[in-house]
Order: sequence, then structure tokens, then C-alpha cells
Amino acid sequence: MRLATEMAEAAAVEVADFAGIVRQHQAMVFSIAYHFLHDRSLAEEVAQEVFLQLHQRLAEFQSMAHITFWLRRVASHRSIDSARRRKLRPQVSLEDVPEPVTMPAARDPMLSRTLQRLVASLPEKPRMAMILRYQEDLDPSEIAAALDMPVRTVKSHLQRSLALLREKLRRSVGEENL
Amino acid sequence: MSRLDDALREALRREDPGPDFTRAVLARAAAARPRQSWWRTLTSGFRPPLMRWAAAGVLACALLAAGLEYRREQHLRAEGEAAKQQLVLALRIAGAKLHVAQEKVFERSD
Amino acid sequence: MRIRAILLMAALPVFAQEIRMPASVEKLASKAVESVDVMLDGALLQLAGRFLSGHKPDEAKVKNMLDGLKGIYVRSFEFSQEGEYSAEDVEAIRSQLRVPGWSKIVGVVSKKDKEHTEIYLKTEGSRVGGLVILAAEPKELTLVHINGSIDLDKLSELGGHFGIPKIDVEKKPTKD
Repeated sequence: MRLATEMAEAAAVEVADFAGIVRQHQAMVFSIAYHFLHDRSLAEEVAQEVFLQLHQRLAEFQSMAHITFWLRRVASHRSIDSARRRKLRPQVSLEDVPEPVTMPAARDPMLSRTLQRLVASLPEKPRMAMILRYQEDLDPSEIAAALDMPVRTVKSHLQRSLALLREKLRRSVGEENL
Repeated sequence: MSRLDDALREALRREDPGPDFTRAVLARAAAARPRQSWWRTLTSGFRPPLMRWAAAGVLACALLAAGLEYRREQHLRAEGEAAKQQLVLALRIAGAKLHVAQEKVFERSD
Repeated sequence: MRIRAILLMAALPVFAQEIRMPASVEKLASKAVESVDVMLDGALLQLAGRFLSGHKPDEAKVKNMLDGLKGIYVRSFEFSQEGEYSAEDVEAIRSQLRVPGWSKIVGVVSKKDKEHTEIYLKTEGSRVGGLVILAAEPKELTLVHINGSIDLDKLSELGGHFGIPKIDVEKKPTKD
């Protein structure tokens, strides 16, 4: 009876851990995919696949930090692969971005939507670098590790993307607000 | 830190996909897991005295019925989620090919 | 015929007909680097529909579209190099559609990209009972068969969701 109890407990712990890991990290994984793909359903699908892959390899992980790093990395790569495989071009062009009618405040929903669309229209690698920087608050070396690219390239992507976003917003909003 | 940095953090803040997402993931994970008889797991170390076999048998039947129903529900949920994913994939492929055709038609009309 | 005209047609159920990848192409599955095989008949479509949320706008649109559908079948192969399938293989698919009821309504050939895309509709009177898309690209061959009562307006509304490109009925032609 003790052996059966221990086995049942071990299985229950594994299941509970995985469910807990999903709940703890689903916002991160989904948001990386969503901000990159700008398509909620596609982002959910990608995020599900990431967690299923994690589930198959759960025994390999030694710590929650390792899991978090792995999830970010795989979510990033799967999002990029998903966009390429479906030959998706960004759904928006910068010319389609509406001009805000009011001055942007710290929490301006319209500005947020505008920025989301602008980020979604960036080329793939700069787009993901920006998402990892501003959604996940990673520094360039952490972004470089997640995306398998040199730190210098990450910094270049971030600088150029920010410059592009600033210029696009300046045309709509005005220089003094940035 | 510039206002643009703040605005980007706000625009790109995390968004939770909700409990439906969690349920879908767990259902698909359950469907993918190698099947292990939970009954066998529960009883592998059990050695009841001879005179209690009748009571154990009744309990076993009740637990088995409940377990089978639970597994049926889990299986149905996993199948349903898988069918839903296949449907979305099919529509995505159909939509992509229609889009290509439309683009070519419009190119010709220039 | 423009996509716009297709999208304005109404729908009615028609008896099913199986449109298959020829056996000669199915044999190439082992060479494909990626293949898709979706076979959703009426029962599976109904099951999938039960797991679509009526509260989520995206999923509600798909759920709405399922009414009247009898099956959705997709067979697609992606190869690592050109020339893995032949013109005869594509013709073997087309020949299945040269029967009463089926009409080719779009046929686009791009010599530059070496792509053929053909769209067939099955009609009974003025109503649509089936849709086939045949897309032949240098490294990819795709066959989509949607059987049953198709509301093409509803199909077009899925554009922009689930990663489905938006089929813009009023799109103005643009040059890249």
C-alpha cells in the first residue's frame, strides 16, 4: 500500500508542478507570442505548443529559473518560426497607424495600441529583441542568450528600432512628448 | 528613462490568456502522456486479508467505474481540443492559399 | 473571376465527393520535410465545434461557419527541393474535378514564381456545396477540400484571425 501511495503521490506532484508552471508562466509565454505575431489565436497555439514541449522534457529541468529561461527562449524561437512558416507579413504597415487625437499620457490606451502595431511591423529579430527588452525587462546579454545572437547585434537592433519608433511617433504625436 | 521606454513597457506588458488556455494545455498534455493504469498504480502494493475480498471487490468496482468515466471525459476533452486545433490549421492553410490567389488576381488587374 | 464575386454567393448542402491526393503523390510523403494531413468529417467537426467558445469572437466566427459543413480535408506536402512531384501528379488531381457540378473559378499561374493556384467550386444551381483549392508551388503541393454548405461570406470574415490572412474584398491592387 505504501508503494502505491508513493507512486500516486509522485504522479500527483508531477502533474501539480506542471499545472503550476503553466499558470505561473502562461502570461509570459502567450504575451511573447502575441506581441510578436499580433494574432491572439495563433499566439495561443504557439504558446500551447511551447508548454507541451516543456511537458515532454520536464524531468530535465533542475530549477524554476532554468524553466523560465527555457520558456522564454523557446517561445521566442517558435514565434519567429511560426511567422516564417506561414509566410506571414506583419498585418499592419506603419502607414496604417492612426494618428492619436490627444497628447499621450503615461497610460494612453491609444498610444499603447499604436506602439503594439509599430512593434509588430518591425523585422523579426529586432521585433523579438524589443519584446524581450520591454515585456520581459531583459538586458542585452540576456536577450542575446535567448535569441542566439551577439550582444552587439542585440544592441544595434534595439537602438535602431527605438529610433524608428521615435521617428514614426514624432510624426504623429510631436517631439516634445517623447 | 524616456517616456518612450515607459510607453513601450506599458504597451508590451504581459497579458494572461486566461483559465481556458490552462485547461487546454493540461488536456493536451494528458492526451500525450503515456497511459498508465491508475488502478494498477493504486493497488500495486495492496495485499488484503482473505476474508475482506468481497468488500474490496465492491469498492474496486465502484472506483473502477468512476475512474473509467473520468478517463472517458479526459479523453473526449483531449480529442475535442485536438480536433479544434486541426480545424484552425485547415482554415489557416485554406485562407493562406486564397490570399495568394487573390493577390495574384489583383496583380494581373493592374 | 475576382474573389469578390465568389464571396457574394449563397450556400446549400450538396452530396459529398472525395477529392484525394493521387497515390503517386501520397508515396512522396516520405520525402516531404513537412506534411499536413487534416481529415475532419462531420462527427469530428461537430466535436471541434463543441470546444470552440461562443464567447470569444474569433472562435465564435469559426463555430458559426461550421453549420452545414460536412467535412474539411487538407493534404499538403513541403519538400526540400524542387521537382519532387510532376505535372502529371497535379493533372491527376485536376481530373477528379472535371465532373458535373465542379467548376474552376480561379486559375492563376505565375511563371516567375512557378506557382499554380486553382480554386474550384461545386455548385447546384446558384448555391455552393464544396470548395477545392489546389496550390502547386516548386517545393510545396497543397490540396484543400471543404465539403458541404459553405457560406463564403463567413469564410472571408475569418481573415485577420487565427493567422488567416485577411481576404480584403475591397482591396485596391498595389505594387510592391
